[in-house]
Amino acid sequence: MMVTVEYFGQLRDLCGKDREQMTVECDTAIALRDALHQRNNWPGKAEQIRVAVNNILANDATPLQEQDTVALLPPVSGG
Amino acid sequence: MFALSHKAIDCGEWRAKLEFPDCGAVATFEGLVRNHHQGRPVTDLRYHAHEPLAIAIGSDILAQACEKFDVREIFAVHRLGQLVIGECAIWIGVAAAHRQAAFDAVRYCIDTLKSEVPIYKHESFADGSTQWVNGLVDLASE
Repeated sequence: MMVTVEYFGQLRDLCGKDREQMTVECDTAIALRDALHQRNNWPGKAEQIRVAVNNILANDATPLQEQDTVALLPPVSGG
Repeated sequence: MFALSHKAIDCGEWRAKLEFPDCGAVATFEGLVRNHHQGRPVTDLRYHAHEPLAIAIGSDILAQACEKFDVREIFAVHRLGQLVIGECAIWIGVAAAHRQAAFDAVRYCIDTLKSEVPIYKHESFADGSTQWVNGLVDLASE
């Protein structure tokens, strides 16, 4: 299925972009995060990156559907 | 109310929203851009955010604070974009009948907003280098 992935924080530098569309075979948002983390060899642990689907924070069971927007949210640094 | 602003925060304008005749205390916090971080001279910084989620999570935090503490109203606003030294990055104001609740609510809000809201800080240093605060590299090295 086709989804849009949005990158935040340091992930923007690591990926060289703010967002991209990609074809994925993962069933859940967390599975997609883990697959991207491993494929791109991002530093730290995948679990440090929160995930949101269509502007709602995802949990382990949140499914992916065609045309979803998945946000990858590393540790925050506001304030 | 939690808000994001792409332009300079007018602290006086936000403070003026906290005038209530039944409140004897107004406590505010201003987070300002300082010129150093971990011993390195900072020249400026930039914030970006997942804006819809930042609004939702920030609003939830302020609502939690209103339930935890006996306060009348809470406002918080966080800057986005490029900021220079001395600029206000985040402003929080709490109105309450009594000062203890106002103090406690301000502290709760700044501590929780800093740890939960999806806002990201990218600092620039005097030597030309840059760094993401709380970056993944930092955590991996712990």
